[in-house]
Amino acid sequence: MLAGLTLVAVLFTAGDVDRLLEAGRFREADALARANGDTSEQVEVWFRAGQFRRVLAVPPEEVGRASEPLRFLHRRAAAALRAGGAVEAQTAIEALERGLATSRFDSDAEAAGWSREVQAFRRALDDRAARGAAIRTARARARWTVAAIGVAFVALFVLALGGARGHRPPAAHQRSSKPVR
Amino acid sequence: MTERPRRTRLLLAAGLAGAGTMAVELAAVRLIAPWFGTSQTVWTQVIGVILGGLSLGYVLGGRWAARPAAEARMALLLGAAALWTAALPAIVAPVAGAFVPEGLSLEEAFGVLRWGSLASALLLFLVPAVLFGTIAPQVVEALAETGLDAGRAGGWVLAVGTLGSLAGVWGTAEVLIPVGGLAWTFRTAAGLLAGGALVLAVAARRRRAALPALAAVPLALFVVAPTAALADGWTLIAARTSPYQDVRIVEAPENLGGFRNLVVNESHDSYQSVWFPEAGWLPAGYYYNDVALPWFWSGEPERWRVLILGLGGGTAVRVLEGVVPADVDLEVFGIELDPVVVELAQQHLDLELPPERLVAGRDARAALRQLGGGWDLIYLDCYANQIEIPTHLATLEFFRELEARLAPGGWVAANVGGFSLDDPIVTAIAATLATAFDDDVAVLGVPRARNWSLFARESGELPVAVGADHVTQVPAGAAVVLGPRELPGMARRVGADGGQLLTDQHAPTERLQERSLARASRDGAL
Repeated sequence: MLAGLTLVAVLFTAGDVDRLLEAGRFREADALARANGDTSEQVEVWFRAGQFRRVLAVPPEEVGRASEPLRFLHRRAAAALRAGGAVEAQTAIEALERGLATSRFDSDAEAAGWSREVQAFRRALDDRAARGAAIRTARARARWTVAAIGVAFVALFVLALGGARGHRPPAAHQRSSKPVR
Repeated sequence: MTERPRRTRLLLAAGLAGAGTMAVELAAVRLIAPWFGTSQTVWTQVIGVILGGLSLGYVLGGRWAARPAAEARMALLLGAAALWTAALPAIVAPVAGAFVPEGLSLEEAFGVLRWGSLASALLLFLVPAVLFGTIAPQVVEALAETGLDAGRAGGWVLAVGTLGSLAGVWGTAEVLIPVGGLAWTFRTAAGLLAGGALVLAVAARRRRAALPALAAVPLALFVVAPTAALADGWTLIAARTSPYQDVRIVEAPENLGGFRNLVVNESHDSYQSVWFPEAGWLPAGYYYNDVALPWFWSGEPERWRVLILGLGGGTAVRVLEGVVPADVDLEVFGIELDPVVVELAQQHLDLELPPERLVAGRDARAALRQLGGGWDLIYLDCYANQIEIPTHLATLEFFRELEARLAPGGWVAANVGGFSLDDPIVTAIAATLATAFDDDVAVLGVPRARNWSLFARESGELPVAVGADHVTQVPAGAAVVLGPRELPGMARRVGADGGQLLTDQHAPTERLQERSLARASRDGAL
């Protein structure tokens, strides 16, 4: 097993994790990422495998061990949006933004590309927050509606029952002298 | 002798009230289905509201019964019920929409399902239920005034009212909804109620009493039943109402790939079936791919017989047909409860199973017996209301029936929705399968999805080794699908003691699903 992993590590260098993933060889990609000790590669493997909670469990402090810190932070933010809570998503996106602010890019186009990514994440987070608020509002509205109708229902019921206890003259047919059976 | 026409009119009113109650009740769930679905929770809310309304109506009707002009009053009440019934399709969208924000995912929508459906049911159906309830006591009193004993009058009213209810149930469920759809169901119910109200108003010679009924007629004719809105860029290909649900075929915009989904009722972001132009493996995240895995794990035999329970639009068939080589003698049979789903799939999703291999319109458990045994794979993908596995299709007794119909070394595979490998509903079904098979069950996570594939085998090796936390059997032909499942945490074996045992006697699948959602919400997975 160890020999196999060493061989894999020898055959593939940094960046080859992507190629292994493209070929559907996740276990080898995982082994190589671990052998490389590269957090961004490890996160990439888990992200592509759909293990979003696992990606999210990697602390942002690991960025120092990532060969591609921005991709690491990007995957973490994307995973947080897919499978994390609102606070997790917010924190992950802010970490990505900080990472962008301290990065230097080869071209303006590259910088603009990252900026668009962050904006898209922000929009997704805003949408999610808006949906959360809308759900809370709708649920509160529903509860108040149920409570109001429930109170009206009970009041009407009690009133109707109360009225039925009052005296009234017997109807014509009740006054007839039918034989009791 | 002279009282007979009056008694007939009065009993007609009682019968119509009974029929109207059941028509509204049955159609009510379908009416709010685009927002809340038709789960047991929604049925419970609607039935509860109707029963509550009837009880209040009985009290009010009893109170008004002694007052004069009973027929004119009942004409007003029945007419008002007709008017409300006619208006229901028009007012449901703003009412239900107020409690379900747009754009929610299926899981998010659960947060508003219980309270939203109850509030909507109260606003929409309480008033007509109260109106229906007021009729019976007044008819009893009026019949007694014609010389009948109170007990006899009450007996007649109960009998005719119940017969009316019976007609309402059968007529609505078997004729009106399947044949005419929701709009015609409410039109017909409103029309009959209005007709009864007019008869009473004419007999009472009170023009004003006929006004609500007269207003109901044009309203019923022009109101259209609502349908759920489509997401931006999606195209509606076809829509039908079946005895079970509203079914639609929708097509994704070109930039998303132009695939088609078969969706039902509220759907949100979920779908029942998916169609891509090419048969074969689907992109990552589609659990349907797993239907082909047992063929690889069985050594890629030359003959392969598959029975799919919960055929839907035939997505699993197209995966099998595209993945299993053409020289393999592949026989796929399918059972689907909803015949409309099958018809739409044949028209728009390339479902081409020959008639002798297709059982449409029958429950999977009942139909299973007519198809004999010797199956290499029985694939269970039966769902109701998006997330509910029908209780009778997740029990020990049913799984034993499946096992008895397998060929040697055959498989039972099931698709289960959940959030983790130790999700309560996933482990319960896995443990029940394991009990039926007297062996462990392999549970595989589906990458990027909230689906879990369960594999039980009549005999032979499972694809997950004992104690492993990942798939350990990865045939080359299935590597594209199994690759991600080779990572730790993507699979496990579950034994008979790994979860709650579900039996015909006790299978609380809805409660387990609620626990699953609550846990996912607590863990931040929602």
